[in-house]
Amino acid sequence: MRKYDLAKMLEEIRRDEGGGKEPAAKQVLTQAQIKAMARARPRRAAGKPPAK
Amino acid sequence: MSDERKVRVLLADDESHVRLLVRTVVSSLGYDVIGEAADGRRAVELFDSISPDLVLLDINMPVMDGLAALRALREKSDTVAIIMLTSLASADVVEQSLQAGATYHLRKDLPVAELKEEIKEAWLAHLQDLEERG
Repeated sequence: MRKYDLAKMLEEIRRDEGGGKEPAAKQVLTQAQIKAMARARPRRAAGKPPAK
Repeated sequence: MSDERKVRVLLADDESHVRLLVRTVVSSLGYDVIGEAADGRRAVELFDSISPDLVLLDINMPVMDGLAALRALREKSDTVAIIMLTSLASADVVEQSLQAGATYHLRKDLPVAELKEEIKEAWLAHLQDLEERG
């Protein structure tokens, strides 16, 4: 029976979907960085829905 | 809000062990978990019937993910506190959730004491924000 390396196949599919480029590493934030982002964002005005 | 009244919490996460952990943390703050959901759609449905003060929403959930649920909840309420939960806090997801109206964004892998402190701090900041908005 032929065996497939599923992990390798998935990686190749992802690379194909990305136009042949290696996937960009996602920047993972620390809780302190998240807090800074949350504090830096503009405050919402009362009664107004968030910007879409 | 009266000091005597417990903060009413809706908790949504598809992993039961995470719900147990967060429920324990939230209960230790004196908050009352009044509803739990294993997917975003159920969380949105429950929201209508239980009217929580605070929603803790996982990002990665089946049926309806946390970001879609966040947007649906913000359509319903501009005043409920919504804290997003995630294992890997990528910058783009945090950005999206804050832009969509999340009160705060929390990493699930924080030590319990820190998780507790962050939830409490986010809730108090939310109350202050509501007061300032009138």
